[in-house]
Amino acid sequence: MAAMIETQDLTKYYQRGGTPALQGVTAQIPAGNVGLLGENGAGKTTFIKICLGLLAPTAGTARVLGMANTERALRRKVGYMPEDDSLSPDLSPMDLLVRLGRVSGLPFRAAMERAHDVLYLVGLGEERFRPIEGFSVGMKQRVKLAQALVHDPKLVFLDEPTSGMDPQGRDEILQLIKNIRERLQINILLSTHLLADVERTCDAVVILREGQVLAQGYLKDLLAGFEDLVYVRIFGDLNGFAQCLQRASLSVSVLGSELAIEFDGERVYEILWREAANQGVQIRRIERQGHTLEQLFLRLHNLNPHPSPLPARERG
Amino acid sequence: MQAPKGVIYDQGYRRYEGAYRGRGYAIWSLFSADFKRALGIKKGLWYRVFLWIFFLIITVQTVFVFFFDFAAELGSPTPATFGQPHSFLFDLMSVILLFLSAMVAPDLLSNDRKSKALQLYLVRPIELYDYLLAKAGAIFGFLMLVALVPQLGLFVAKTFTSEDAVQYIANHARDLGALTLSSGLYAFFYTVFAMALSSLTTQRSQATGAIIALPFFLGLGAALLLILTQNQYVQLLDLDSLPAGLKNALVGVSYGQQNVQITLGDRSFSFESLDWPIYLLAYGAVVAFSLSVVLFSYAKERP
Repeated sequence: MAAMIETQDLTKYYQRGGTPALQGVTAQIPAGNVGLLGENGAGKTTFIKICLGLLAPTAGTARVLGMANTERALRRKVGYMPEDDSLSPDLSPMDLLVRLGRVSGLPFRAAMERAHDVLYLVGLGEERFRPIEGFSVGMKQRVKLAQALVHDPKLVFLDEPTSGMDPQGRDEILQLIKNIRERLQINILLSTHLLADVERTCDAVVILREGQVLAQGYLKDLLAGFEDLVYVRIFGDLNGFAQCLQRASLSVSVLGSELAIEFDGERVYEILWREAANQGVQIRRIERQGHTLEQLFLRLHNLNPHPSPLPARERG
Repeated sequence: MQAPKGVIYDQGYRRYEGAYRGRGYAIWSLFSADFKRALGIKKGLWYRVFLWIFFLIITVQTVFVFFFDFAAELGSPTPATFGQPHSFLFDLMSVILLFLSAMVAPDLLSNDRKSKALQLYLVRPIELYDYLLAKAGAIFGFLMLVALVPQLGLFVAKTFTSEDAVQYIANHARDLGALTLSSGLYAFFYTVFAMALSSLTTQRSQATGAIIALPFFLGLGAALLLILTQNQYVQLLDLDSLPAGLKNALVGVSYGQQNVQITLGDRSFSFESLDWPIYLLAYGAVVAFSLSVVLFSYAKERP
């Protein structure tokens, strides 16, 4: 499948001699819902702005939907939901979307029709004529999402779409994002530091850290190389029990008030119960979980104090 | 059971199958939207109140000039300093044009930068220059309208009150060109000046204050320097004198005498108008500097 976004050695310095925001980022981002994951300051917004032509890279190239990032025709095919507020407070969503739709090239009538449709799609149908200054954070996020969709783009860049939202609002926005891909077949690049958002909505992920790519690929491939974890909560000496299990050749980590044991077969349970009986420890809870993106993310950070590309499979 | 009838008209969000217009259409759409905003359409109550107050003042000025000129034609004694009525009306209106530019330019420019809305435009298929051109066009169009319509109204009023309307038009048809050009000179000057100051700040109130205050203090300084030095060229510091000097060359002076003499106590000072090429040079210099300020302050928005 052709890559939606291709970058080659993308580098960006904001100040000569300073820390690079991006360094040598080479990525092939497939079509679909893709997460751009990283801590604050990892370079996510810089990456997006270079792809959109809002920033010039110091070195390297970027191609989006088969076109150079600086081509004007590309900007008709992409939408951008920025992290900043970016909304004119005295305009209504309807006025804003018609204006931006027309600037994108939509004839007036089409811009009006699509503005109505998109605002209903994002759940602002009843508020579309109210000035934006009176909107809540969640409503403003929806307006930003709507303006990114009004001109029917093929690819939408969403920068922290759930920023500042309450749990219910976040849930609704994430569902909306999933619907945009599934119903409307619009590709999405979701930039966020929230792992759960990516896990819930995305099929693939690019993980950035300090301006470099830590990992990239489909989630199922990235997580396939890691074993499940068995979480155990006990009543007793947690650290002592962990050492016993380690002596019995289990791979154990202490996570707060729980133990996380890598599952490599049913013998894990046999050893667990045997050692619990020997040590007089009460097992209160056992739960086996598939490897989550959070665990992948933390593991990549722990294994890569100086980030470099990591193969998807860790075990042979 | 009957088959359901009817047609679904609202199908919700659909993919767009039509054609996209070009860059020229995008600039035009941005211009027309901002031109409507300048006229107060869908703006707040206070914006429209101030706008109509200014329109009322200009209307009163136009009526005043017409009746003053009409009275002079009937033979009533008038101050010797009163001269060409259209020129006089420009002199009265110039302050209003300054205030209107101070109202409109920050609203169209500073707001977008303050709210960081500019990036929403630059991810569309237009360039930064297109955006600035549309904004300038909207401000210029608005000020041009405000400057020209009263002049045309005065022209029409004088036509209908003349002894022979047809003859009046025949004799003064060329004046319409001079009025249009003079209105354009004023509108363009205040457009670029107001854009320059608006581009320096994201705070609308700061830009408005600067646009009003700077010409005032420069004019005051010019007058003081003129009195102190008697160097006529310092009057070029009075920004309003630049379009006024060109207007005088096109339309005629609004004063009966080219030069004005003022007596303060036992001292007298004379203020002489300069030749129009000097005003043109100064006008061009201010416009070029203002445009440079706009382009420089927006330079960081360009990739």
